[in-house]
Amino acid sequence: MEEVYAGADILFHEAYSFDPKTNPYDAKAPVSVAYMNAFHTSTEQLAGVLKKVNPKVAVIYHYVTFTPANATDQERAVKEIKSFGYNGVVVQSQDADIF
Amino acid sequence: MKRHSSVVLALTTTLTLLLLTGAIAQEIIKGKPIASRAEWAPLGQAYGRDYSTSDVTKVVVLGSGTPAADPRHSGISVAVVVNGQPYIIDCGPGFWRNSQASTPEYGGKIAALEPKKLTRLFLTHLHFDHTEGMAEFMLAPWTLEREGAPQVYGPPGTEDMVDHLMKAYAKDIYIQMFGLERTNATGWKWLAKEVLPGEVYKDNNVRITAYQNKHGSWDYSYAYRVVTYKPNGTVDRTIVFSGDRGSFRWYGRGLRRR
Repeated sequence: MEEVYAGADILFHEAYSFDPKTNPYDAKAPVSVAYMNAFHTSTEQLAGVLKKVNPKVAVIYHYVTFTPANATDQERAVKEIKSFGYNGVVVQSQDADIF
Repeated sequence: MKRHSSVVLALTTTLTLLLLTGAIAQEIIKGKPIASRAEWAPLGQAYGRDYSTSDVTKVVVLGSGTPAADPRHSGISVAVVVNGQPYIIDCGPGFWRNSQASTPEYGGKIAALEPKKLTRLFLTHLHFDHTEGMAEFMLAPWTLEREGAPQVYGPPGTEDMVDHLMKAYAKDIYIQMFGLERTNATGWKWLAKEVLPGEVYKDNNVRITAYQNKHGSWDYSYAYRVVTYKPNGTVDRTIVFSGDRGSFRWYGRGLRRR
């Protein structure tokens, strides 16, 4: 799968944060860990992908979180990816951003 | 005299009520906006950050979100604008409003997103949050004088989806063309092309290749690799869209959809 990402100047990648064991919002979410894994990419998995392909800029879009917007940090996905050991440029996108 | 006092009473009561309502309103207003939300969406500051480094290629996020109705992250859609021509990847409900918000007419920087140029759309897969903006892609720019035909490229199932959608608007299209609007006869005539993994589109500005990704139970779901070209034909940028991608580990049981 990673060959499609090779040599990208800009890699738009989806990501999610989901941990029903520790996060009370996730515990109440109407989806399972199995569903999230089958359909989407966790920030930990994405950090692994990014370490392999090293795009010039990684842009997170389609970020899935069940924590309400007013109770979370808009840089949360970026912080998680860095915490999983990826040190490249990562931007968590919002509408109307230009790259 | 008696009458006079009842007027005074009525006035006093009204005044008290007004003050009370005012006090309640103040209480309500004081609670809003909640601090975190104000930090989260400083309109005019956070909206439309420009990280671009190329004059040839501008990638504009039209919808960065999910099915959640988050006002800062609309349904998924991104425009790759090359030499003044946009190529739209996915068409969630962010597509129309945010594409126009990005044009100079509404204070944005990207003139190439004007309605008449919105004619090329590429779908990663057919989930609703990636396709709900298609009715607008088909009809709104046409009403605003697009003459070029809208073209939709996507996985198997795309043609059926566009066909059904346009049938739903058959009466509207008829009335626009033959009623008082007199909208042009060409800007709605859709073309849908179902594509398989491999090169799906090429012109002087871009080469777009689809790769099969794994997205749960979908038979066909793509990542797109978009290579853009400068006017002299050399490569400008390579931009990759993961689409929705899962299956790092397939559990096989206990799968549950919303």
